[in-house]
Amino acid sequence: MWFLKLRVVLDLEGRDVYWQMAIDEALLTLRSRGEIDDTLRIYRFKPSAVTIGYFQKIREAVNLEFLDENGIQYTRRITGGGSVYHDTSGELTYSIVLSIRGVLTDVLESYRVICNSLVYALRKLGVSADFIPINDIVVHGKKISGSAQTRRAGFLLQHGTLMYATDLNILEKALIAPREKLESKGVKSIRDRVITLRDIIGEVDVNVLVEYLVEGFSKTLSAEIYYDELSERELRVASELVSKYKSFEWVFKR
Amino acid sequence: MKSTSLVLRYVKTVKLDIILGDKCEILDLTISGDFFAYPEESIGELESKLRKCSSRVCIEEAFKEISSTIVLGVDIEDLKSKIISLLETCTSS
Repeated sequence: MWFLKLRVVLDLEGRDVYWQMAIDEALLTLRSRGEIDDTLRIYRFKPSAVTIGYFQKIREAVNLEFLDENGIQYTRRITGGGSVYHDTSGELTYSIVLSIRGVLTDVLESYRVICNSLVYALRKLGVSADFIPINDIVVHGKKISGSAQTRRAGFLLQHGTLMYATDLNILEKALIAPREKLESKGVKSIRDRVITLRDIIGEVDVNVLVEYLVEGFSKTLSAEIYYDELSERELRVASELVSKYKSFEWVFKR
Repeated sequence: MKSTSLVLRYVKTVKLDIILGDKCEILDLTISGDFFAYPEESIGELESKLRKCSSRVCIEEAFKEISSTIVLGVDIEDLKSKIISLLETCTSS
């Protein structure tokens, strides 16, 4: 393992889904141009929102009628994987942009390394979490976190969820899972497959969770942490990407 | 014209939507689901190449062109076989 300096940016106030996805892409772009350091961001979606994976068909991945009726924003990610409900009051999202080297060169192994940062945080909270390849973290056999990664010119962006108090009633109505997928997991509904920290250890202090997450990334990546804010440059690049994430062409491309 | 949809369960779930023409040529094809591919764009390129296919050789060539793509959660050989099988079932009927 190498030693790196990891910049940490916190956005617990939250922004909308278009901005959050735009910032993630902007950070990957700027990191791949060598304009910023390796960066970890921990943030919320405000208001609550849904994202779908790059290869998903939107009409088959989410209940559009429910989302529209309830004013839940949605967009497509630049990363693969499945649909996610991001609850403002019950879910934290992390994103990390890193130079691809050493153990991160192998895609599967990089998922393991990065996800182990979350496993570290959960275990520090006393929760027996495990990483299950390709991209899940489970507790008692149920998913508490999912991650997705994309790569560009020697750099990676991985982002993922951590459900601490997600409203699973809304999640269940917002997302659609193929029958075949549920059957293969031995469950009848999406709700049967997921779990939140509140279900396991009760109410969680989000600030403590953030602290443990940052510590987890620091340990797992052997990184020296420093805290920072998003720069004007980063926000400007992100602002140019927001319209893409709002566009019908992008969201309904599949 | 014949439209077929298959849901294939690998580590991840893949939905294959395919439309075959009167001469069993692939008119349209979409590979969707919660899988991962690196680079992502290669799946779109594969779909484009397959849309011109009317033979096993063409399908095999299309897949060969993405042989350097890393696809996670999908058995690519099985997916290729399923597409070939759909096409050959059409031509033999």
